[in-house]
Amino acid sequence: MRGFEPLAWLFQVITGILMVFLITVHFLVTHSAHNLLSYESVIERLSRLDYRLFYALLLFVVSFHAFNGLRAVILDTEGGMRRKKLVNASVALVAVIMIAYGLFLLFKL
Amino acid sequence: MRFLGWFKYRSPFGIAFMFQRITGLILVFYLCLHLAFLTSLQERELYEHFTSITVSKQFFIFDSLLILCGVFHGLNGIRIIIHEFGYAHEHRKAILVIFAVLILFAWLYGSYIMYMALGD
Repeated sequence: MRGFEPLAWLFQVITGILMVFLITVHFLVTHSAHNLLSYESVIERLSRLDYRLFYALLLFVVSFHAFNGLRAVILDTEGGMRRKKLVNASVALVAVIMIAYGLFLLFKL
Repeated sequence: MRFLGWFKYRSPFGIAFMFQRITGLILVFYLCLHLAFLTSLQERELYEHFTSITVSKQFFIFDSLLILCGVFHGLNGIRIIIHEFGYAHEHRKAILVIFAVLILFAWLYGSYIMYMALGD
């Protein structure tokens, strides 16, 4: 397997499978009881290193999967394929900004 | 392929492909919205104001639809992965039906958990 596209496809599959488990955990952690979304509960969770690492992993996995998927959808159009480099660069830039902002929020709170 | 080209397929697999893309785009949009929403955690009053709107029975229909998008995209994605790796191609109609049932149950169960957590 050589080149960027097969590798991007493989990571799309790996992150997709990972997300099924990570998002299920995230859903149960935040929605399985009434007070789990209270300000105190959220701040308490985010002050713990294990939750911070979990959310950092979730952020990386979700951002890669989401923006690589978006890239694939855009490149599947005639206009997108004609501007492949621009699409790749733009989507990568937005993904990096999202990850950086997410990490900023995660470790600043 | 043009955007409208997604809608030309009439088979159950084509419809599943179309919804995989539509739900994917909805979830990318939601991801951006979710991250913007989390900015409010920097100010307690703002966060509590937002959650008083979004964590409510009036807003539950949107949460339930979001669960449907997530469950569909996740489970239909697993189905696609199974076939992409060359497994069970001869049973793909049966697997589509099994996954449709799984999606329905996961959606109802996820919505039930979320609804019960809303309280009174």
